[in-house]
Amino acid sequence: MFDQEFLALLEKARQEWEEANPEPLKPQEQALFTDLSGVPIQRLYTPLDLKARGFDYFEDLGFPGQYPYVRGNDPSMYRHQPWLIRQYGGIASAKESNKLLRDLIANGQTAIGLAYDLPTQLGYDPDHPRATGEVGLSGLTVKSLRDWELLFEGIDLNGLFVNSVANAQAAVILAMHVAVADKQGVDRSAIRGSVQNDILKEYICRGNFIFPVDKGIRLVTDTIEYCARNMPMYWPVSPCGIHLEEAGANGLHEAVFTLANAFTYVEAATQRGLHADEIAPKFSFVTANNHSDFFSEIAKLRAMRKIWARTLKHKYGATLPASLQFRIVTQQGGSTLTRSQPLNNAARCTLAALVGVLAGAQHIGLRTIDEGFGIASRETQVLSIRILQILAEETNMRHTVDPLGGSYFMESLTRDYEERIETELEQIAARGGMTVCIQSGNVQRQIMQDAYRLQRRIESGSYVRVGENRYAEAEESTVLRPHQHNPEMEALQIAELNDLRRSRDQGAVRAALEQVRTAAAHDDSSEHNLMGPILEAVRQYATVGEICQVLRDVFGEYQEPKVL
Amino acid sequence: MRKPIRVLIAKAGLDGHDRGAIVVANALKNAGMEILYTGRHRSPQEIVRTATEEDVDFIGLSIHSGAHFPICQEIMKLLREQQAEEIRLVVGGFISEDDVEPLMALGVARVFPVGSSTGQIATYLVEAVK
Repeated sequence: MFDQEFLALLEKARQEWEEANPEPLKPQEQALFTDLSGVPIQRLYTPLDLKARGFDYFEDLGFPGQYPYVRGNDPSMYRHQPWLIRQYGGIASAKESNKLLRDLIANGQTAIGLAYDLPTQLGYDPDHPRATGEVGLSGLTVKSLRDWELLFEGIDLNGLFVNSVANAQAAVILAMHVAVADKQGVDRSAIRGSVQNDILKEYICRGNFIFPVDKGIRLVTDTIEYCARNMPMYWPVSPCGIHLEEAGANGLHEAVFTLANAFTYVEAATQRGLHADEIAPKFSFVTANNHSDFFSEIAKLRAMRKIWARTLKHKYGATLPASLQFRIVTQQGGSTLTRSQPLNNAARCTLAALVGVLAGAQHIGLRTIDEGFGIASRETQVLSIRILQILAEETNMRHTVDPLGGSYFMESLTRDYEERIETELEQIAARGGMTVCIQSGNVQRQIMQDAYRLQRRIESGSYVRVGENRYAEAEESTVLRPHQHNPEMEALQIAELNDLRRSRDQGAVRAALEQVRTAAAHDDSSEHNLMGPILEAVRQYATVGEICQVLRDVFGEYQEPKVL
Repeated sequence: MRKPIRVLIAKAGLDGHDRGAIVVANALKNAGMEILYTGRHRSPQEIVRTATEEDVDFIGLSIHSGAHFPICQEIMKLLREQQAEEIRLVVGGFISEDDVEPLMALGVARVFPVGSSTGQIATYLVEAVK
């Protein structure tokens, strides 16, 4: 990229500079200058570092809106439209969440991210014994289509991006989105949104799994196929790194396992006979944008863009731009925020947002400063929206595309990540692929080691958390009051469920559930795609618990490997 | 010398977040304790059965879902029914300051909310068996 004469001059000048300005580092001090993934960071980067890595402008960078899309998916990126602001939330009931959503939309939230309670995520109705004590705590309760109707009462789904953090039962939630959009008269081609639907990550770390691995992948494939055929604007699968980082994985492992999970879904869909260009545009990626490894998080995301584009093009034969583009939704990890001195978290949120912006994210979501206390209050959700609005509207940072592109440091670090990710992806392939590595507990153990290493760094103070392990105050001065749970919620939800069961057409529900059972009992195939029967069951107001129970009967349940 | 402290690290209910459980398990193991782990999504019955069968000193319940009251209440009740009250229930995870005293009133021996260190937990366990 640089001419030889210039590089020779530079090499000499650099050497002279090093000699004039030595930085004597004892071996034990080297560790101070490695990032959390163990990637060494040098004092200074120059064109020599690009040369050493064989950096090629066209191969490694190119132009925004062009392969390998590392400078961004869009030629103008944020110049005309900023990233979408996608806060994650959901409280108690559909009715209360509806109020919250309207309020946040009025305050400038531009994409919806829905949080469901654990019984909903694990396919139990509120009256199931396993749901006791958990109803409406970690998000909103959705029992049937009626709740989704209430959730979007007065909110137009036409063109509104709605994401659901639904994984094991993502097909059921997707069906609710379709059914409510149909009722609102929204054309299928105008339904925008996503379900997380990254079941492999649930087996690895988050734990909201229901069915065995092959059945989990089948459901993901069914939803991808359904959306590929019916919903051009919808992203039915969002391989999700944020939960891996929250479980303790370092950024490098987050990238490796997220991509490995994604390629597993691509392969399942292509094995069913779908072409890469039908399905790759359906992917978006929910990645961590933690402030605690600022430049490395950006480099990681840029490296992921390159690997996705290259693999889809060369390995899976995709050609469409939408197939090769790596759509990024950054979500800050709550564990990077502190409970002590919680106002400090506003700075952490701002830096995390900046990671997303500098990495060219399509959507950015932030946690809230009261993360350490419970479910976000309305005020702290609005604060996170305001932080994103300040970046978008007060700073002029949107005026140019990919401001870090071409930085000697950023391009070198991106290459360092790329090479390490590629190496680890090859190792996973050599061990038989991601599903094998998950079922043996290998992936889980790697993340456990990362988590333990980080905890030791926190406790030794070498990983600084201002206000917690450094600059702590004897008396905590600020205690925030998060969202307060209604103790009557469980009883109210059970009463609503009983009303629903009395008012719907029981015969139609039973018949629809039988159709789900029949399709589930058949082999994984386009002909027996479960989305059609599940959509019909949802329309008849079958509950989440009833539909998941039928699938449990046929599929069985996942058994975790022993990891400890 | 006393035999090594035995701890059953437990995850109850629908909560799938096991980072804390596993980090604490590793730390206690490195501190010389004998550690068993239930895996995720266990019922109070399963936890108490394992604890009594394995004759542990402590159940270390990790919980982040907010469902700590009903689960701790049930575990304490079962321990009493089994006359296994010498097994102490220690709880860690996403628990607000306001909930600590009511949990202790249920019979929980100690609560370690988010931000506690593994060192604090290990020290407590060692002191508690003296």
